Amino acid sequence: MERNPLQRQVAYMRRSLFDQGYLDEQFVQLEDLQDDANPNFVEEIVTLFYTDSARLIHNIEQALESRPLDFIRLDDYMHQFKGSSSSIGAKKVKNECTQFREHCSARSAEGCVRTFQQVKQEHTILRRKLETYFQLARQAGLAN
Amino acid sequence: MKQDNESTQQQKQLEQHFHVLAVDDSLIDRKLLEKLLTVSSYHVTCVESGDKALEYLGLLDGRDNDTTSSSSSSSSSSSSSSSSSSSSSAKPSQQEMQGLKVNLIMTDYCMPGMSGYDLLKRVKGSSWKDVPVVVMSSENVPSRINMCLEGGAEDFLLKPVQLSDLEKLQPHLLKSLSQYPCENINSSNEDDENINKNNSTSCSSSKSNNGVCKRKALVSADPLERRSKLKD
Repeated sequence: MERNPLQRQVAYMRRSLFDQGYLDEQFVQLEDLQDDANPNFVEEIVTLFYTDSARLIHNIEQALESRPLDFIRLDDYMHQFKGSSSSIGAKKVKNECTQFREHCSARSAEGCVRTFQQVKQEHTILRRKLETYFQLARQAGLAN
Repeated sequence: MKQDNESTQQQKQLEQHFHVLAVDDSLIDRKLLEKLLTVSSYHVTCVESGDKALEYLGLLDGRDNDTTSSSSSSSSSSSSSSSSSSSSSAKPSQQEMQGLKVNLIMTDYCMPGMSGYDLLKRVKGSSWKDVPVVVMSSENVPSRINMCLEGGAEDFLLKPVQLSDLEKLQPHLLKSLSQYPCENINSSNEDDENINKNNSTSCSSSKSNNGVCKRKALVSADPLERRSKLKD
């Protein structure tokens, strides 16, 4: 099947998301679950992730303001965050979560604060990339 | 050839009647699990906690221990307890009267409040004890895995759970349902009630598979085995 230019662009973008390490194999698993009965499953679950993780981010931010830091609570939040990230294949986000948890284990406040900025950064970057990707995919689908 | 046809047919029938109770505090994981199970042709009910699961099973106020029996054929698991020891009470639980059927429980390990392990123990100590329970966790901790298996879990899956994991569970579960004497399996088993009767008697013998389960779960607990290359 001949791909139109938009479809090629979508495929290219998808490929680079994997190549650059933003997404891992779990994202492919999600794509495999998408079918005619549920054609927007991937986008839906990603959207759900961003809604849900916004809540977690807020909780972590609040917890990071308390003194002394409650590392157990922070670790617990991050465990949830890491789990969700892992479930959608958000590789870089997941890795930053792991870093954060290491700082929790080490009881390093500075480490936690610093890594949390990285978690948020990767989280935002991925969201933007995926928004662009889904939008492009929709356009490519319509252009058929 | 005929044998294959029958077993595929039987498999399809069992899948259509297979009801899974999925327990996970994560919204994303519930959605994912629901999708995985639906795609695999199972009916699924998702709850967000161990307490909600117990409530669903009618176990919340502790009124149902192993001593409660039921001869209701509409409940695939509970009726099997009548084949085991202590049951003397003739009164079925409300859920059994309503024909609630659960063929498999899949539960996350790490949950606030009641853990997956706690839920496992509660289920195994109830009239639902013959329902296979599978525990899931994002963390690969051998001692945790062993503890769950020894606590009666049928299997232990690493998250994120994939379609291939469910496929691996399938023959396992089908076997536990079809351990009834051969003549009942091979005869035409079109209607639901027949299948449920098979379920009720055979579930109690599923325990004998525990040795096999342990090896299987430990193998699948190896992250390397489960990680396949990227497609494309």
